[in-house]
Amino acid sequence: MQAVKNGLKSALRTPGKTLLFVLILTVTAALLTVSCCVFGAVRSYLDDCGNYFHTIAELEYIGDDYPNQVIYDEKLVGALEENRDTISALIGTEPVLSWEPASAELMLSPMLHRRDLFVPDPNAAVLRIKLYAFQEDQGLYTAMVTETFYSRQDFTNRLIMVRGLDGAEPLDFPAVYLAAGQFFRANTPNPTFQIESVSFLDDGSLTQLPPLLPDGASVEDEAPFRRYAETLRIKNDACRVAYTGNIEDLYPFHQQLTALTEGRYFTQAEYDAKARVCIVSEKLAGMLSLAPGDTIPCTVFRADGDLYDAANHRRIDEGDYEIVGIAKHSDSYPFWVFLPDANVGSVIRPVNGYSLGQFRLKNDGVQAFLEAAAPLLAQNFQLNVYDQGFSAATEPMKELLLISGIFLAVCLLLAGCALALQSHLFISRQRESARIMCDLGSGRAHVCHYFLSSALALTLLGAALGALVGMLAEDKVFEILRQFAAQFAEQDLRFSSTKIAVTRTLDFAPASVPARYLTAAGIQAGGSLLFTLFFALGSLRQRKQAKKKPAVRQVRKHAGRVSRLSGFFKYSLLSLRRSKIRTAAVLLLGLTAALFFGRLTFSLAGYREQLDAYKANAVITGSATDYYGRWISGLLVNGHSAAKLGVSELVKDSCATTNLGHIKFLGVVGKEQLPFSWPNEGTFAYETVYYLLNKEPAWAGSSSVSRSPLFYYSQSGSVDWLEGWSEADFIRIDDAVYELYDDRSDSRFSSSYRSGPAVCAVPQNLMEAYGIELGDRINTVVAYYHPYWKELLLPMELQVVASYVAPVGSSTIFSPVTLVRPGQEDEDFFPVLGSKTEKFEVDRRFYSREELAAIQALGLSPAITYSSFTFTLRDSDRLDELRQVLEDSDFTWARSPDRTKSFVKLEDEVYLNTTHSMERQIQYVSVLYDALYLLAGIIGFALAWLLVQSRRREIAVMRAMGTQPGRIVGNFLLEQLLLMAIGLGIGVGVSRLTGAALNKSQLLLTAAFLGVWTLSALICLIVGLRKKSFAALTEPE
Amino acid sequence: MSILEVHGVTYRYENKYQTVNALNGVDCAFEEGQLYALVGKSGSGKSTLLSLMAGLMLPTEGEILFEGKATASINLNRYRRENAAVIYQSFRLLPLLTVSENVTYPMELRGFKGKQAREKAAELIARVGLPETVLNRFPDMLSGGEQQRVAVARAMSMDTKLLLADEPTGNLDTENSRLIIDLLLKLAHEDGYCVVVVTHDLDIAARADRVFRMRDGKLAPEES
Repeated sequence: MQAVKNGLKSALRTPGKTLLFVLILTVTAALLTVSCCVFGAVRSYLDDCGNYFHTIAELEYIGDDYPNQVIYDEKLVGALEENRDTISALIGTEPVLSWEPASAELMLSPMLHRRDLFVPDPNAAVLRIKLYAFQEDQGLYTAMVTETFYSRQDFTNRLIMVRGLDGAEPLDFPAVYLAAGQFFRANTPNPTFQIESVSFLDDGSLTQLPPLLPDGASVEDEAPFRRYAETLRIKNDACRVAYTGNIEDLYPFHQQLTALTEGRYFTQAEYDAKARVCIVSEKLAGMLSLAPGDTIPCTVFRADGDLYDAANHRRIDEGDYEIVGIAKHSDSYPFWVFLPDANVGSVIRPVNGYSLGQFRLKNDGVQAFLEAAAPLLAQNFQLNVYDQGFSAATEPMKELLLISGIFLAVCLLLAGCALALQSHLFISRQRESARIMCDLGSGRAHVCHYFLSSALALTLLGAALGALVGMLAEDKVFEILRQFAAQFAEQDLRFSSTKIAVTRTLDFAPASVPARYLTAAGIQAGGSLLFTLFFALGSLRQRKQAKKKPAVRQVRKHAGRVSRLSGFFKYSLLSLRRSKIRTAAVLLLGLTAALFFGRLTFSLAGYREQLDAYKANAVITGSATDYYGRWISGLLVNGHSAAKLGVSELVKDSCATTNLGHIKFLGVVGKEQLPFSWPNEGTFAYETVYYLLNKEPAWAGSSSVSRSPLFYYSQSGSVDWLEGWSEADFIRIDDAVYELYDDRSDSRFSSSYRSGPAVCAVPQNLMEAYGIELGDRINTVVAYYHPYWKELLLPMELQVVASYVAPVGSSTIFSPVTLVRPGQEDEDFFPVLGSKTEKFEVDRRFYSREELAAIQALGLSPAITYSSFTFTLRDSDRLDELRQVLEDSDFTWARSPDRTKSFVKLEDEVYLNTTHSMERQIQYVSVLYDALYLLAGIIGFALAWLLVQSRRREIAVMRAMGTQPGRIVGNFLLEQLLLMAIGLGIGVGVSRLTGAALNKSQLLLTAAFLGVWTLSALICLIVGLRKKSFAALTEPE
Repeated sequence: MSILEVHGVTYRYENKYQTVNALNGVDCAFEEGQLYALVGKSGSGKSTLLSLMAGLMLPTEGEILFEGKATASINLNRYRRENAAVIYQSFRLLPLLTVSENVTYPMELRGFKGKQAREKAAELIARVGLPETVLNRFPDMLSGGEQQRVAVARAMSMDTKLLLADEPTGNLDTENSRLIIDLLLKLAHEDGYCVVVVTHDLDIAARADRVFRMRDGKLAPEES
C-alpha cells in the first residue's frame, strides 16, 4: 500500500512529466481506438454483406439456337450425358450451397386458355369440318367447323376456308372430315385452314395421323386425333412450372426481374412438405381473376425430354393448389407458377431452352467455383454469375479492410514504440528513487509495485482519455471512410459487364461498438504495464549485475602509426577510422536501408510493369446486346450509333451484321440444278414458298466474316478464303455494290451486279452437303427481308469466296453487308463520295466526307439497322474514353432504364478484375511501403540522434576547450553524413549487383533517408551545443 | 598583479521549486605563479565559481575580469581556447584520440599543426612524467593517474596563464594524487601559471599558496 501511495505521489509531484506521459498514452490510446473501430466496422460490414447478398451461377449450354428458351436441343442432351459426372462433382464442391435444376414441368389448369404471344404453336388446330364448296381459282374449300377438338380460338359453327393437302386427291363435298392443320394468314374473308400431315409422339411411339378422317370413323380411329389435340392443349395452354427450394434465390427473383406484389413467399414448412401452394405470375392471376388464398385446380406434368411433346409428359400431381403469392411478371416470364420443394436439388436433366439450372454459391467462393467448373467451361457450357452487387459492395471495403489492417498494425507498432519509450522514460527518471529504495532494503516486488501503481494510474487515465477521443472522432472517421469507399465505388462502370449483376445495395452505416473502445484501451493499458514491468525488472537486474561484477576495462589495440591527418575535419576522419564498431554499425545500417529501399521500390516497379504489360496485352471486346445484356440474334442496333463508334479511333475489328433473309440452293452453276417454279406474288403459293424458304439456311449481311458473332462469342473458328480474296475484299464497297431490280417483264425480281459477282461465305457443313467448292458460283433463291416493302423472293447467283468452320456449328451464309438494299436506294445507304458535296445526308443525318469514307471503309452504312454489332477496344488504357464515346454514340448499357437505345456490353470484367486486383496490390504495397519508409525514417532519425547524443561529453569537452561550435557541428555532421552516405552507396551498389535495376524512387528514398539522418544529427548537435551542455562535464561516468 | 579578478559575482539559477543563489557576491583575485585552493562543503558554490572562471558560463551579477577585461565582453570560446585550461575530476580526454592527439588538439585549435605540435606534445608528456610510449595510446589504455597527467599535459598545451582544476584528484589514489599536486605546484611555482584547484582534500589545501573557503555561496575570510 505504501508503494502504491508513493507511486501516486511521485506521479502527482512531477506534473510536467506526468502530463507528458498521459499525453503519450492518450494519443496512443486514441490511435488504437480509431484503428480498432475502423477495422471492426469494416469487418462487420463485410460480414453483413455476406448475409445480405446471395450469389447464384446459372449454367447454360451454348447450342446452335442459343438463347432460344423453348427449343429442345439434342446436342444439349448429348453434352449433358457426357458431362453428367462433372456437373455432379461440381454440385458437390465446397463453394456450392445448393443446386436447382431448370424447370421441366408444366401445369395445366382447366381454367386456363392462353391467348398471349408466347403460346408455342398458336395456329395449330384439330377440327371437325363440313365442306360445302370449292373455289377453283384459289384452290380453297368453304367449310363449316362443326366441332373444335383443339384450337386457340373456338371456330365451332363458323365458316372457314380450307386448303387441302398439297398433291392430294380433291376432296368430296359436301362431306364431313376430321382434320389437323394450321390456320394461316391469307387474302380471304374467312380464316384459312391448311390441312397438314401430322405426326407426333404418342406414348413413346411416332404416330402418323391420317390427313383426313371421314365422318363416321370409329372412336378408336378418332382417338389419335383427340390425343394430338390434348398434346396441343398441353403445349399451348400449360404454364411453365418451377419447383424451387428457395424462390428468393431463383434467377428472376434474385435479379429482381420479378418480385412479389401480393401475398407471401413460401414458408420453410411448405418447402419441406412440398405443400400444394403456389406463387403465380401477375398476368396469370389477372387472367384467371385469382388472389392469394384462392385455389386453382391443376395437373402438373414433368417432361422426360422435350417439354412440348405430349409423349414425354408424366403426370406427377393433380389437385387444388392454394395461391399464397402473386409475383410481378416480366415480358420474358408472363406465365409462371412456382411450387415449393426443398428436395429439388441434385437432379441434372436436359430441358427445353439452354439454361440447365442454377447453383447457389458462397459469396466469396465464386473464383474457386469457376476454377472447379473449368472443364465445363472449356466446352460449350457457360456460367453466368450473379452476385447482386456483392463484389461491387465488398471490393472497396476489402481494400479498406486491408488498409485499415495496415493502419491498425502501424498504430500498434507506433503505440508499441511510444509505450516502450514512455515506459523507459518513466522508469529511467525514477531510477535513482529505485536505487535508493533498494539500498534501503525494499525488495524487488516492492519496487515493481511502486512503479506499476503509478504507471497504472497514468495508463488508465491515458487509456480512458484516448478512448474518449477515439469515440468522439469515430463518426468523423466513418464519414471519411464512407467517402473513401465511395471513391472506389465511383469507378466508371457504364457499359461494363460487371455492372449487370448489381441489383441490391447495402449502405455502410457502422454503429458504435463499446467493445472496440474497451479492446483498444485494454491493449494500450496492457502494453503500457507490460513495458513498465519489463523496464523496471531490467533496471533492477542491471543494478544487481553492477553490484556483482567489477567493471571490465576495455583494452584496445595501440593506435599504431602516428596519424598524419590534420585540418578542420581531422576529428571526423579519425573518429570514422577508430570507432570501428560504430562505423561498421552505421555502414551496415546504410547498406541495409539502401537494400531495403531498393528491394521495395524494385518490387513496386515490378508490379507496375506487370500491370502495364497486362494492360498492353489485354483485349476488351464489346457487343450489342438485348436489355438484359445477352447476345441474341435479331437485335436492333442503330446504324448511326454503330457507324459513329466504328469510325472512332478507339475501336478496331468492328463487325456489324444484318439479317438479309434465307437462301435456297438450286445448284452450282454449270452443274445439275434443282427445279424451282416461281409463284405469282400475292398468291397463296407465293406465301407458301416464302414460308418454306424461311426454313432454309439463314442469310446475313456482315462487315466481316471472321469477326461475326459466331466467332466473336466462341473466340475460335476459322475462315478459308478463295485465293485472291480477303476480309478487306469482302467488304469493299466500290467493287461490290449490287443492284437488284424489279424485272417486270417476268413479273418478279431479279438481280445483276454493277461490278463483279455477288459473293458469299458458306459454312463448311453446307459446302460438303451441297458439293460446293471455293470459287463456285451457285444459283439460289433468296427470301429477302426488305425494311419498307414486303418480303421479296429473288433469284440470285452468288460466288462462294469463303468457307468457314464455326465452333458451335452454323448454317448462316454471309454476304457483304453492302448487299443490303436494292437498286436506286443504294445512294441513300452508300453515297458516292466522288461528288463535290462536303456534307452527305444518310438516313436524315449528315456526315462529312471524311466520316463517311471511314464508315464505308469499315463496310458499314449509318442507314442500316443491324442485328448484331461487335468490336474490340484498340487500347485498353482508353476504356473510360470508350465508355463516353459509346454514350455519345447513343448506345446505352444493359438494364438501363432508357430502353429506346441500342444496348452495348463491354466484356471488361476480367480486365477490370485483373487490373483492379493488381492496382489494389500496388496500392496495398504502396501503403505498406510508405508505412515502412516512415518507420525507416523514424528509426534513422532516432539512431542518428542517439549516436550524436551518446557523444555529448565529447562535444562538451571540445566546447570547454574553446572549439568553435561550427567546427564541432562540421566534424560530427561530416562524420555522420560520410558514414551513412558510404553505407547507402554500398547498399545501392550491392542492390545493383544483385540484379535490381536502379530506379528513381530508390535513389530518392535513399537520398531522403540520408537527409533525415543528417537532419537528425544536426538537430541533436544544435541542441547539444546549448549552454547546458556543459553539465555533461560534471556528470558521473 | 592579479590575472583574474572576481568582483561581486552572483550566480543564480532556477529550478521548478526555487531560485538558488549558488554564488552570492563573491569577490576574490588570483595572481600568476600561485596555486589557489577552493575548498568548502558540497553545494557551497566552489565548482560554480570555477565554471564561471573557466568561461563555461557567465555570472548573473557582478563580473569576472581576466587581465582587466570582463568575460562577459569577450568571446568565451576564444577565452576558453587561449586563456583558461580546465582539468576535470573525470579527466575528460577525447576517447577517439591518442594521448598525443589529445594533447595536440588544443594546439591545433590555435593554429599549431603537424610535427611542431607533436614534438610539443611529446615534450609536455615528458614533463608530466609519462614515458614516450604512451603518446600513441588511447586514453582508455591508461590508468587514472596517467590519464589525469595527460589531462594536465593537454591543459599545459593550451599555453594559457590560467589553469583551473575541478577535483583533479577525486578519482585518484593517494600516490597519484600526490603526483598530480606536485605537478600543479610545479606549474604554478616554476612555470608561473595561476592554478586554481577546487578540492575537498585538506592535504592539497594545506599545500596551496592560498586557500579560499566557500560557504553558502560566499567566500569565508582568507587564510594563508
